[in-house]
Amino acid sequence: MKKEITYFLVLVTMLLMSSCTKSPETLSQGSTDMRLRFLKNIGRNIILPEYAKLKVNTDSLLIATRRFNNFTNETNLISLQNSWDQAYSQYMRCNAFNFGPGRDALDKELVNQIGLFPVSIAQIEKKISDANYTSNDFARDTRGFLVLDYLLFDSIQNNSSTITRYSDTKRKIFTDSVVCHLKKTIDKLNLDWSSYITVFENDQSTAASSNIASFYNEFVANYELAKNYKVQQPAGLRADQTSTVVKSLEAYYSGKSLKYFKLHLQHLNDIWEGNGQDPLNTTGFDDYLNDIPGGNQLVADTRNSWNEIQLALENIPDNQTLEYNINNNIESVKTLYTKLSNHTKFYKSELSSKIGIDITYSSGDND
Amino acid sequence: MASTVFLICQKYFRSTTHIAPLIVFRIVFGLTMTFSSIRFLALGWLEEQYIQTKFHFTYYGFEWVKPIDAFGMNILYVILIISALCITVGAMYKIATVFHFLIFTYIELLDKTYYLNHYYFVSVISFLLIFLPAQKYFSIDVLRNPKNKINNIPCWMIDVLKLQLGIVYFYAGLAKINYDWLIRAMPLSIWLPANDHMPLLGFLFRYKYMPFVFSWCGMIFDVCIPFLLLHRRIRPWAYLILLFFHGVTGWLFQIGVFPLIMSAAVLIFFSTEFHLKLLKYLGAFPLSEVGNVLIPKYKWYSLSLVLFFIIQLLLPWRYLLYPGNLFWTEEGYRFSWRVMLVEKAGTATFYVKNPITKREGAVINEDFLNQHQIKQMAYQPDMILQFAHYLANHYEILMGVRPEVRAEVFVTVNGSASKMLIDPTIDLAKEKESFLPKKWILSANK
Repeated sequence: MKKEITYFLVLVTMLLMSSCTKSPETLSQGSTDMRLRFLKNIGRNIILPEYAKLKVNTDSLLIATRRFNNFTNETNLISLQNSWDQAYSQYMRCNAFNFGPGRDALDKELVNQIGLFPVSIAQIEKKISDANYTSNDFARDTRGFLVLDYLLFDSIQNNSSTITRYSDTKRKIFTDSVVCHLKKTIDKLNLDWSSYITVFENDQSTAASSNIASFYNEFVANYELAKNYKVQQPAGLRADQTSTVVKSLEAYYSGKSLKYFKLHLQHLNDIWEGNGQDPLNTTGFDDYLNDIPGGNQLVADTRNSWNEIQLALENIPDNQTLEYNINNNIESVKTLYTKLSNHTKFYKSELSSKIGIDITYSSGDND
Repeated sequence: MASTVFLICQKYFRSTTHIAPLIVFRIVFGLTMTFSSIRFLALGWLEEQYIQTKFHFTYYGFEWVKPIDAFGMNILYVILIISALCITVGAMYKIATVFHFLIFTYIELLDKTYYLNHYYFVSVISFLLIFLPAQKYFSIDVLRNPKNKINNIPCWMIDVLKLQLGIVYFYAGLAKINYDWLIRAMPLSIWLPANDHMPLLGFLFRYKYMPFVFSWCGMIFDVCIPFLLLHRRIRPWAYLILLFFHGVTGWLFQIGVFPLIMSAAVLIFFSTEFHLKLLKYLGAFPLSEVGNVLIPKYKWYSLSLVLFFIIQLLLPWRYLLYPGNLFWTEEGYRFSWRVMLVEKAGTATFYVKNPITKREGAVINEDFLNQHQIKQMAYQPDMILQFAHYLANHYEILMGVRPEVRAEVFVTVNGSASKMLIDPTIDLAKEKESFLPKKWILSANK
C-alpha cells in the first residue's frame, strides 16, 4: 500500500510541477485576469462615471424644476424640458445596470423604479387631484422620468397649455416630488456604487450569482427590453396585437422616442465594446471574446449584425418622430425590428456559450 | 450449457448475505433526500418552478400530469420531506417509499424543463426501494415489531443497487466517447477556464491541455469506476478517486446535490463488515443477535427485475433509432445518463400568423415562460413544438381561428457559430408530437 501511495504522490507532484512551468500552452480564454480587467473597465470606466453624470444631470433637473415652479413661464419651462432631456438622455446610459445596487438597494430594479413606461395618466392626474405625493406606493407608473415626459410636454407639443396646467399648485408639488424621488434614487445609487465597486471588480466567480453573470444577464435583458418594448410593441408587431400602439412609445409626449432608443442601443454597443470615459481603456465583451479560440468570428458576426441595425436605423429619419415612422414608414420599422431580432442570438446564446456564463436570471441546478 | 447457466443463476439467486449494506443505503439515501428536499423548498424553487409558472412542458404521454394549487404543492413537498425522513429511520417504510417515489416522480413529470439525471436517478432508486426490505433491520419498524427483523437477505437485493449505480456511471462514460468530448475537449475547454479563479486547482485550468486531461479522465473514470468499486483491494482507492471526482465537479459546476447523492450511494459497494461497523457505530442492535432470512417469491420478483433492467439497459440506446446528431436533435437524449456533456444555448423567436388576415406577430416568450423554461426550450425541439402548440391554443381563443405558428431558432453547440435548428417555414401548430423522428429539424451540418 505504501508503494501505491508513493506512486500516486509522485504522479501528482509531476503533474503540478509541469503545470507550474510557464509555457506558451497557457489559455487566457475567459481567464480570471481577463474577467477582472473587464469588470474593472465596466465598473470604473463605464458604470461609475455614467452614474456620476446622471447625478449631476438630476441635480440640475431639480434646480430647473424649482425655478419653473417659482416662476412659471415659457422660458423656464423650456429650460426645465432641456434639463429633463439631458437627464433622460444620460439615464439611457445607466438603465442596463439593474443589478447590484441597481436592484438590491431599491425596492425594484432601476428600470422599473425610475424608467417605467407607458405611465398611467389617469393615476397621475388622480394623485395630483388628491394631493397624493407619495413615491412609496405600488403605482410605479406614477413616478420616474417618463412621468415628467407627460407632465412637461403636451401631446401636441404646445407649451402654453402645459403652462396653463401648472397654475395648479398641486401639479407643481407633484412634479417636485417626482424629481425629488429621482434625485433620491440616483443619489443612493451613486453612494452605494462607491462602496460596491470593489466588490464588483474583484468578484472572480462565474457562477449564476456572480457579478459578471448578473451584469451579463441584465445586459441581455436590457437589450430585449429595448427591442420588445421600444419597437415591437408600439409598432404593433406582437402576436397579440392587431394594430399599432404608438401611445406605448417611450417618451411619447416629448416625441423623442427615436432619439432615446438610439442612445439606448448605442450604450449597449458601448458596453459590448467596452467604451467608457477613458478612451484608452476599452475592455469589453469584444476583447473577452477575442481571447477565446474562435471568438473573433463571433466578434465579426456581432459587428456585422450591429452595422445592419445601423443601416436599418438610417431608413428611419431623425427629423420625424418614431410615432410618425410607425404610422407612415412601418416597413422600415419592421425591418429594424427584424434586424434587432436577428441580433439577439449574438448577445444571448452565442456570447454566453463562448464565455461560459449561464443565461439565467435565477439560480438552479444542472447536470 | 444452458443447464450450467441455470444452475449458476439458481445458486446466485439462493445465496444470501447480511442486510447491513442495504440498511446503510436506506439511511444515506433518506438523509440526502431529506436534505435535498428541504434545500429545494428553502431556495424557493417549488414556488418559482411549479407555482408561479403559467405553462409546463409535460412529457409526451404524461400531458395529464398537472400541478395542483400552491397550498397543495407545498403540502406535497412537506409529505415528501416526511417520507424521506421515514425512509431514513425506517418508519412506516413501505408507505414512505411508495409516497416518496410517487410524489418525487409526480413533481418531476410536471415539467421537463427541470429534468436532471440525478432527479431521474432518485426516482429510479425510490422505485427500487419499494421492493427491497430495507426496513427489516435497525429501523423503527423493527423496534415496533421485532418479529419482522431480518439479518440476511438474498445477495441480489444488494446487487440490484450496485447494478443500477454501475449503469449510471458506465453509460455516463460511454456517452463521453465522442469526437467533441475527447478530441476537441468540449465543452470543458469552455467551462474550465471560466473557473480558473478556484482555489487550489484553478490555476491548472489555464493550461491548454487541462480540458483534455479532464475530458479523458472523466470518461475513463465513469467507464471504470463501477468495476473498480467491485474489487475489494482497489475499492478504497477507487472511492477516494470518486470523492475527488465528485468533489471537484460539485465545486466547479452548479450540479446541486448530485455529488452528494452519488458519493453516498456508492457506499453500497463496500463490504458487509464495513457496513456492520458503520451500523454498530450508529448504535445498531448487537451483531450477534439472530434474525430471520428473507425468502422472497422469486417468480414475481425476478420477472419484474429482469424487465426493469432490460429497460434500463436499452433506453439509453434508443437514440440510434433517430437520424442525425444526437447533441443537435436531442431525440433520445433524456433518461440516458448523459451528464454535463454539452454546452448548448439557443435563441427562439416564435411567430403567430392569423390565416385570415395574414397578419403575423412575434411572441415575447417572457409573457408565458420563466427564464429557465425559455433557456431550455430554445434548443430542445420537443419543447419548441410543445410551446408552439400552447401558443396556437392560446391565440386561437384570441383570434377566433387557429393560427399558424412558426419559429426561428438559432442554436449553438459547444461554442460553435449559431445554426438554424428547425425549418422556419413549417407551421408547428400542425405538427404532431410522437416518438417518430421530427422531420422539421434541420441538419446540424447545414
